[in-house]
Amino acid sequence: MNVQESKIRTPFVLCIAEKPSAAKRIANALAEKGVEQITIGKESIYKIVRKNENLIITAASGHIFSVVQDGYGSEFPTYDFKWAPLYKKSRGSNEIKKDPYSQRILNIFKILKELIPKAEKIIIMTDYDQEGEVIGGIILKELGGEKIFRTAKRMKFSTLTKDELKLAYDKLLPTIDFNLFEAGVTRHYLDWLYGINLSRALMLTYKRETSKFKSLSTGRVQGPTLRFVYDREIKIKSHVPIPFWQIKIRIFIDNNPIELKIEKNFEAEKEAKRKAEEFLKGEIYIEKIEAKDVRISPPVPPNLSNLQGEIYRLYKIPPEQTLAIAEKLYLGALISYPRTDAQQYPKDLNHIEIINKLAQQKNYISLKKFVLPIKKNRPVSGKKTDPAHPAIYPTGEKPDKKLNSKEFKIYDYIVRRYFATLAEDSIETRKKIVFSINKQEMVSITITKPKKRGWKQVLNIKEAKNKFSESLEKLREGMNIEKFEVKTEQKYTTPPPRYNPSSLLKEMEKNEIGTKATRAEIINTLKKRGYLQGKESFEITELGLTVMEILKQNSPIITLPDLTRQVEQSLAKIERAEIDSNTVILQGIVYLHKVLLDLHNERKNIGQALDASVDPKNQNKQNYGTCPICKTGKLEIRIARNTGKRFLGCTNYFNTEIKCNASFPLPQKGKIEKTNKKCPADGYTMVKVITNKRIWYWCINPECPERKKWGKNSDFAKINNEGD
Amino acid sequence: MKGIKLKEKCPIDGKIAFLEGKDNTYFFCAYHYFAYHNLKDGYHLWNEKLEKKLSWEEYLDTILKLKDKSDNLVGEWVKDVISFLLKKQ
Ligand SMILES: [Zn+2]
Ligand SMILES: [Zn+2]
Ligand SMILES: [Zn+2]
Repeated sequence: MNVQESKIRTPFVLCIAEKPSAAKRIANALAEKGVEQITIGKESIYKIVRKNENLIITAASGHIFSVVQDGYGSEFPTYDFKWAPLYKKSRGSNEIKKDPYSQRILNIFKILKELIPKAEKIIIMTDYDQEGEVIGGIILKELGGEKIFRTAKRMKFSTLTKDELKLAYDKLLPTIDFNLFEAGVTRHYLDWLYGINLSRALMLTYKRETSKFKSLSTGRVQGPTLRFVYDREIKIKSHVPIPFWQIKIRIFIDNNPIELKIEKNFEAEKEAKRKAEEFLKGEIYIEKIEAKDVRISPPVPPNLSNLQGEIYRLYKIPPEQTLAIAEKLYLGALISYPRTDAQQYPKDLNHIEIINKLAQQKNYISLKKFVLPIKKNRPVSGKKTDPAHPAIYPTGEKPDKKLNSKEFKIYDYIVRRYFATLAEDSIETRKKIVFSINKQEMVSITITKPKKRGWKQVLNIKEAKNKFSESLEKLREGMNIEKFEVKTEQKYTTPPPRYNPSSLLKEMEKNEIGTKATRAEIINTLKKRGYLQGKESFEITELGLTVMEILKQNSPIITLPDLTRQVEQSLAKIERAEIDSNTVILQGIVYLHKVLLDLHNERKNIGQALDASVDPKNQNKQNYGTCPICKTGKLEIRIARNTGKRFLGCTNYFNTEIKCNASFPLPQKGKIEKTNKKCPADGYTMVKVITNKRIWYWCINPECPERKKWGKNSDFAKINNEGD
Repeated sequence: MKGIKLKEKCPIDGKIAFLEGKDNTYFFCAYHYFAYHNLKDGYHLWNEKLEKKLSWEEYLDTILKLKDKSDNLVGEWVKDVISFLLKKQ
């Protein structure tokens, strides 16, 4: 069915949600009678009635447009951009990608394009943040035009529960937030400008200097993120352990060995040994014993990075996966919007209702008793705020489907953390026993005993056990320790630990790099580009090392957090209407241009450095078949030292006994790929040549009887193309 | 890690070598040079701290054996350089 056939009659109000599942939730929440589901292609749109108006609720699929180059070719540098639908094959062309995802985007695009001009009123119902504003705003601008963009209404909500959605519908905002929108699109423009130009600079340099092709990239946020890992890697890989010494004293109480560790490290072996001897001759007695109760407040309401960090610590689920799952839970109306920085609940949140609803789930009945009456200091709050959304909390709704194991782990954590923020303090008694070692060093041991578990019980936190606490309890002030041993231990300085998904995310957050919504994805991109490897701890690859080395030497600024932080601050200023988008973009371009010039001036060195790491000697070079001259060597692409031209040479050239100097010229333009084809005329190896304009086959034999004929004859090339 | 570029290649991995100080005996690439530098600094530190002084070779040998203690203790480039230096002798 298409939109025409679906008998959508005007007048109607068009509602645009961010994702199909959100559209369905919204329809069910707002419908006064029934929900009519209309299927167009594979998309569903929902027809409902509310307050005597016909509402059509439809959805985007996240972004359906992206920023692309305005114009053809791989111009460099390029500063002209526009928005284009994601289903298009390449900029400027109208060809449509055939994959299912692009087909879906095309269908959504068609539906929106048809409905937007016909609608009497439009309400944007995407998620309320920078990205949501961009998704909705660009759809309005591209498919409806400026007037519709200026007049469409905005619905603001943080959970997909019925009550909140109904309330939000009654309190529609008159327009989208134009400042938020401007800040969001500016981010897209800057990311595009930096990403495409820096990546092209690397690739073009590599191609010009080596005649080879490799997909390389970097960007505004990628650079500084990779730099963290790079700096750490350098420290790890060049670490030389240096010795130092510690003195360990083992006292015996009831024959139980108890270690006392002198905090101080000794720099020299001699000094450590001398001290140890002194201690052995001296006396150890109990200087004092202090006991006190310590209150520990519950953890604060979590924002996205708190959640990602805890889930990684507890279950080793990587941050990007935690976000994806949290988003699914949000779309299932089980939790509030997860892309948030806030550590506070909404002021008017009905905790009693949520607690009662959660207590209906059998897993959580027992948690209700830990909840304190809501008053000034409950629930607890953290310091961080977010203008768009509160901290993450459960809505109280029951899952309508059984959650899978990972989904359950994350949901369960969110529920328990919610209860914990409302629960009693945890109290423990800490008894500190201070030992005097020869009247020179004070060493203490603390025994902790839980007095009241409080919120710790809600979060199932295990208490650490003290070893030999019964024996330690017997000690009194002034007592002498009769039996003890003293020994020195040689230790070594260790390199800093590698980053793991959680610690790298925290480092980005600390340095204000990226946004809560994009950080995990950036780390993923670095992995996809082959710059990082490893799952639980990140190691930089040879390629990552080289790319960073090049950027660092030639334009250090794009590898440091400062630029990215400045951009974030400018974007925040756009949000507050303190600066306009064009100024920020212009500043960005001026800056970028300087960086590109620096890279250009160093192109020779950059090309060589990249070549060494993309194609290190020890790695298998592409082999283009057996050498037809010596019959034992393999052919590989090499660059002639005197002319700089590329050719196929024999590996036996380096073999001092054979020293085969077979050499076959290659076309100098385009990418060369190996094939299994043999030339029909002389049986020589054929290679594939790929340029922007065409793809053809090339017989490597310079004397080939047919080569001249088909060099320009497309028929021959076509024949050769078949059966490939 | 910027230095004067040399025609020489790093004997360990064939990358472009750098010349950084006057006392250079070997021309390593930037990374191996850095590791070599740390090793030389380390030698002085070790001998300042230990009761029994080590010769340069004993020192290299000790560091190389430390890697058995924990895999992450000795840097990879440091191991490369030590293996290269010990082979040279
Ligand atoms: Zn040959
Ligand atoms: Zn031929
Ligand atoms: Zn090297």
